[in-house]
Amino acid sequence: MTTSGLSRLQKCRLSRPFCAGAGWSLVLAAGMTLVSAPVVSAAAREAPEGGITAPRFAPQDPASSQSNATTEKKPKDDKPQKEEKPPKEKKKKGAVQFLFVPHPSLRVGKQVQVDFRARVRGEANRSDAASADQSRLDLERRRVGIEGELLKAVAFQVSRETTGTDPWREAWVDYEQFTFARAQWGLFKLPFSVDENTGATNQDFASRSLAANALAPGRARGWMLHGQVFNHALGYEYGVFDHDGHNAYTNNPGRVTGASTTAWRLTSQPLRRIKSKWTDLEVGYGSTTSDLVEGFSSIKGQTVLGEDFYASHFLVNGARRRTSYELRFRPGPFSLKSEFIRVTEERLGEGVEDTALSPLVAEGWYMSGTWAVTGETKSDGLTEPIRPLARGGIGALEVAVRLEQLSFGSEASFAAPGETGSTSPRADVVLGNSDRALTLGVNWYPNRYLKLQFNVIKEQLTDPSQGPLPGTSSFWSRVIRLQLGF
Amino acid sequence: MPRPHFVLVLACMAVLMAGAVRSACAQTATDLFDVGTLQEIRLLVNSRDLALLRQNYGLNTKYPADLLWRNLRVRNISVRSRGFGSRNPTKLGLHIEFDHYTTGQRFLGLRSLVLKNEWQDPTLIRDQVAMAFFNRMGQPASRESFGRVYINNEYQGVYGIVENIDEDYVTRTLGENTGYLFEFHWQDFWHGEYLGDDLAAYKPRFEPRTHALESDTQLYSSIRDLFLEINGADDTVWRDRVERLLDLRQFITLVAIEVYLSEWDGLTGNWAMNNFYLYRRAGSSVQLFLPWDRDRAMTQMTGDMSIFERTDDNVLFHRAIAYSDLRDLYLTVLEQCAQAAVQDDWFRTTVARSVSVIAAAAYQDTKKHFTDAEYDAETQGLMGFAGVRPAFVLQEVARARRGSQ
Repeated sequence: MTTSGLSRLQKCRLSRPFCAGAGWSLVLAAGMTLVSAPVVSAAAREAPEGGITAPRFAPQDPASSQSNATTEKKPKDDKPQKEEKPPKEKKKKGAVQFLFVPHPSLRVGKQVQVDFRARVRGEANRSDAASADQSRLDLERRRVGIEGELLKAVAFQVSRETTGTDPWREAWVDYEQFTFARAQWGLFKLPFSVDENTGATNQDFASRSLAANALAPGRARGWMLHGQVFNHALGYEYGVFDHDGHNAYTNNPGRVTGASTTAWRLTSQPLRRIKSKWTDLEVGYGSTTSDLVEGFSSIKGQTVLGEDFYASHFLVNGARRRTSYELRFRPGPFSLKSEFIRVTEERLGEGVEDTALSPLVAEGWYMSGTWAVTGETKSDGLTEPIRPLARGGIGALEVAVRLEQLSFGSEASFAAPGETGSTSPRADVVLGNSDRALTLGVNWYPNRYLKLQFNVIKEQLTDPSQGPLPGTSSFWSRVIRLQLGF
Repeated sequence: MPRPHFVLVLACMAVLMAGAVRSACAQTATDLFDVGTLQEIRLLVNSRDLALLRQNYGLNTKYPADLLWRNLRVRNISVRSRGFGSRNPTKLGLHIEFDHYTTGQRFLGLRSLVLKNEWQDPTLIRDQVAMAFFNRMGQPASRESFGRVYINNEYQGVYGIVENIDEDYVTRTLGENTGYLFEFHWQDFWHGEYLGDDLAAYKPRFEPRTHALESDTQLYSSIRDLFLEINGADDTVWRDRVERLLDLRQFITLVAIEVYLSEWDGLTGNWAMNNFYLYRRAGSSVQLFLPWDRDRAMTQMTGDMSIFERTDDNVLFHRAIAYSDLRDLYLTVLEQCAQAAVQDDWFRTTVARSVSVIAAAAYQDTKKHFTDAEYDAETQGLMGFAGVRPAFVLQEVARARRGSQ
């Protein structure tokens, strides 16, 4: 069954958990505290007064894995959470409770549930391609929010960063009474790219793929119809948004981004009825279309750590179209994920003779694989280690590898790779560039609250003169990320 | 076995194609600057860019374009408005760079090119004739020819096709291009007075065309030192110090040629120093003046402009000419100019040829700044100048020599 079979809120947990940061030292300190805290948490979960040990809203974000896995075992059941219902309580109907399961949660009978979430994340990066002052690469993020469900028909989520000029992350309501047709409205991610729609907390690597970061739209305000049809064989999402997402959005008046955007996505698990390891295989296709007014494109290429290697010098005018093909497969402790994204931007009337130029093209792909060395089932998520650190184990340990590429050019330049490209705003054969990256990673989950990631990245640019180290085409980067939350 | 006539056809086609390829490959900058041919240059500019170019003709904003000449099309070049007094939106003066958007791109080996609108010259040929004369006198000078210029297939008029002073130019004329090249920008009536120790005073006047990213100290110290020494009080050391920073004999030669040409807007022009580049060879402190934009040459068409007209205004020339050998050099070069002008009737022939090359196109040039009647009168005036000037200069030189004895 596809993730589309889940409620929007569940999917959101799967894919868009809060991520946040505090000062690096604060994160470390908090992390050390939590490393020794699980016993308390576990005790709390098990305590009768805890009330709900397996609430409708799974307490951990990695939902993607966990709730998804649960639903996969019962594909016909659109409400897989039923089996996670807490022990029956002899409470008065409509009684107000405040629980910690393990995140704070407010319940009013069975009709209202509001969960309180918080994440902190600290990250230290070092790159051969960065400037001398690498301290600027250290990131801190803090995110807080609430999510919940009303009358078992309306889900909602509101979350925001505590800093930044564009702090709001999610702010939506989803009417999800019927499986085959649900409606969502608010601020959320456009249905495009499995990697972009996987939350930072559940990423196999410290950063998303180059393709998702640069080419997927991200979030915008809009509405969406989505659901499951053909007995869950096919999931669909179709929405209309104010613009084509914050990834390409810019405040630079010299740059243009997509205006009103239509997006749709189909996902399917074609082998879901076959009882084998292949059941989990999921494929998808997504598409967006936006209008572009005349100007310089806002889409740019950045290395894994955010150094520019391609800035569009070229005028665009017409439509911006995205397409993506995605694949995910998670047999046992392994996973394989791959995606191809292509963005084209029309250049109507932009030639020196007022004719159309060949569209600008950006293409990206990645292939990634993971192996949970400690034996956890990937589709169940690794946030519940088989042997948590505080119970005599080492937590969950996972190794990961990703090969990816992000390329920019025009249809004409892709068709004539030997021809010298130009930076002229009206060039047909434009000067493009591409970045190929290999990432090796280790992920460690000491317990459900804490995640530590270490990545080593080797990148190679086709045209280093446009990159952070002119004259040097390949370079190494290293990332350590610590993330905790409830 | 192929039929004989089929083989013949193939052979003919091969010969024709070989000829076409050869003609395409054979085109060089020499062909472009062939003054005996009226060239045709077409520019393709997006209509919105062209509107902006005309609207903002006072700015140096660059716009993308394609250039067509004969069977060649150079894509992704940059064009911008150029000129000082000649800037206007009607008949745009254009500066073209072939490598601005495409690294390493050249057109016939040229990195850049100027399409001069000849806005201030009723004859449209003064600059070309003057530069040809500098060249005849052995001085570095831009190659120039004439052309009909079209923008988006609309005739813009007769333009001077001028070799720009850039790294390729100094390579051709001086044999190296690793030095420091500066374009002089007129700011005020400046005759070469010392502007003070602050390098900032020199920056707006001397724009670096090479080594532009180097520090002000590296760029401007030699220029500041040059004008410091030019204005030095001690006559006994003046020449020695100045010659460490300037090829003084080349400067005197250049002024002599300008004066012969009755130039009104050059080193000793009516508006003080103007229209030149300065070049400092790599690893050397010695600098050279390079002439540029001589469309005000032969302005005094009566041919009787004094050989010392305004020369006292220029600090450098005034100090230099006090040395007898330099004064003698000055007079000698003037004599050589007169001789070179009359030898083979060079000057008159050159003027006549240029007039004949552009005449028809000039009459069709509705964007030119002057009327056809003014064009006719001025071109006649140039012929008169060519006839009168040599004798007048020789007479003046002889008088000057007598006076200095």
